[in-house]
Amino acid sequence: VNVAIVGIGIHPFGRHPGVSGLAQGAHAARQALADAGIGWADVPCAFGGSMAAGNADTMVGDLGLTGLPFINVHNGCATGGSALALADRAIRSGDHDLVMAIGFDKHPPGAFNADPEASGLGRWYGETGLMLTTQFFGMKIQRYMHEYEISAATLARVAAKAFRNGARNPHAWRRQPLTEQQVAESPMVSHPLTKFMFC
Amino acid sequence: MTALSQEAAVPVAEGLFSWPDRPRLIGGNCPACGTTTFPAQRSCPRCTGTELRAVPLATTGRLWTWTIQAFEPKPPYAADGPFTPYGVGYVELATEEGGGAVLVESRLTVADPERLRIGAPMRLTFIPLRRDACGARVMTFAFEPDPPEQRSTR
Repeated sequence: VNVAIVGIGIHPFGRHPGVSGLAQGAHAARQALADAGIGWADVPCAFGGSMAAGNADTMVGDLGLTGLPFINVHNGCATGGSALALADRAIRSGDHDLVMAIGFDKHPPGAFNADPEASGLGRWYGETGLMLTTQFFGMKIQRYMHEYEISAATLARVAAKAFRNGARNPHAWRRQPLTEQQVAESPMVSHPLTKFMFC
Repeated sequence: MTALSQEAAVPVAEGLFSWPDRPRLIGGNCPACGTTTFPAQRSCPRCTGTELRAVPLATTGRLWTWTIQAFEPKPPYAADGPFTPYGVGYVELATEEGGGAVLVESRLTVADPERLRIGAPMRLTFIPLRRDACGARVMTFAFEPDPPEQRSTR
């Protein structure tokens, strides 16, 4: 079976006060339908989700109560990708010939304040200040740099490349290119990762 | 009584470390495959065994990786202020009887990049997080450089 993406949509990345994550997801879904030249009623199955902005299946309230099976996916930063992989498999299996995959999210500014107990950890893990994704990424890259002899200058180069690309993308979160020096000299968040090495 | 309660110190959670006598981190060790976990848990993350036994971990090991927490975390972080940046790392520890090593994620007493190095010897210690409703200090485990660095005379 050949699987193809026949329509895409996206809501611009940003804080967008007053616009819920679900509404941004529905916006992207409408664009994808228009891009494919079909209506919502033509979609027989959907997979989608967010980490912190609600259940994707409730989007039927916005898009239409067509009765389709809409499967919620909840898989951290990989939620949208997981929805896409599941949509692909639903077509390959022969269950459906058309599926929608959708991912969206919305967070307050700053680091996540994750619940340790939701991840099988004791409350102490959060109380003692260990439950931060930024911290985990800092420790992970620190070890990686040690094992593969990577310099802090390389980290700044990678981030500067991402900012250059963002400047060319009208949907990007940050659209101002930054130099390697600006990245390296931004506030240190989790050594060796600076603010602009995160986002 | 007031003086007593000022001196009282309680662990942040039961089962993490023995306290107050001979404080040791408590790991889990799998008799089937030798895997060690921290904290102790009932099932083995390597072989799915369920016979893990609680074992004290060594008090010294080596720093496997580290970072510095530069901003104050949101709740559930619960420590008395004012906030100062703190070190965090993974320390590679064997069990006290020399069994399989485990990477223990921990607070570090040092928060200066110039004083932290992967592979450096580290030693178990305990730090206060806050006072509880009874005025007792709530303690958690941490690691410090071993031996402690020479204090600068300047």
